[in-house]
Amino acid sequence: MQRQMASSIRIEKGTTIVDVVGQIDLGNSPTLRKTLLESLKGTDRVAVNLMAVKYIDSSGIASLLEVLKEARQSKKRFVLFGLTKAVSQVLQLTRLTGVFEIRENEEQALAA
Amino acid sequence: MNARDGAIQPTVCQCSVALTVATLRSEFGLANYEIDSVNQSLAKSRPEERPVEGQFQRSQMSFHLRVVMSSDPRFLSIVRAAVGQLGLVYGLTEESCRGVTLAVDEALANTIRHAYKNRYDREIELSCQAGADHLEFTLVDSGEPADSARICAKPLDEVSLSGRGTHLIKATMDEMHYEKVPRGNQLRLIKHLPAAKVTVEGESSPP
Repeated sequence: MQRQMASSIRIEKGTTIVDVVGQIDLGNSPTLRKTLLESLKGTDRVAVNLMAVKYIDSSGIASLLEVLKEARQSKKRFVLFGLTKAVSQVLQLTRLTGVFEIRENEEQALAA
Repeated sequence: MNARDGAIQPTVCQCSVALTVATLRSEFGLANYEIDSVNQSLAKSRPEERPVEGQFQRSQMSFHLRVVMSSDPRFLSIVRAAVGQLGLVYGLTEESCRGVTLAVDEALANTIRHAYKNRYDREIELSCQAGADHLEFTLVDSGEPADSARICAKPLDEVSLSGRGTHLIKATMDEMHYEKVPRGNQLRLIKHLPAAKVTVEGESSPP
């Protein structure tokens, strides 16, 4: 399992997609937060691909929440898709499943 | 001897620990560790006491891993790997394994953030001990004591950016005990094990 977190950015149909890979924890969640906030500046829609995220902790969830708040304030869309069991479990435990806009896959995220 | 022979199980335990220790040594070289005991009594047991093929009783094995690490988040993934493997060996479901791993990770992260104020050069001692019916994780640090009044003070449904770590620990562990000890702060996390027997890695329990 990839222990480090990495991310890359691409544009699909006018949506900025951030592909995230690895494990998100206290050590790298500030980097993810910075990447997502930067992505949000240049577009109206950001979708985060979490298909390859095998672990996320509360600091990672807090980073996603912060970006969501920023997106709402600036009236932009912020979508999560491809949630793994690990990510889903933490969102459920923190009762945040209903707070985020979540789609099953990229196609649905782009259509949202 | 093949993997279905119950006596092979010590190798499974030792391999998990060895992998972690090797990673500690090769990638970081900073953490001290000590395996207090990886003890298996199966080899000593009489043939009639040996478990059925592919299984053995928890009461016949013990595991104690002690890790002394710097309060550096780079070590968190190593601890997660070890804790997750331990849970699997002791028969937890994948979901429970993820929960226990999350709890220990959140506890360590809280220590780094709150007790040590994000200083990465302090010491944390983590002890992982398995008994016949539970897993116990003990963290000891010498940082700022936790403010018990603030632990889980915020309701979870509030969309706040922090304060979720302790909620996650409470949601996934069966017991959580925080206390001041002479060496500093001690947090004990306990997960009760399901009644089923432990199975050899990769195999499922018979009905």
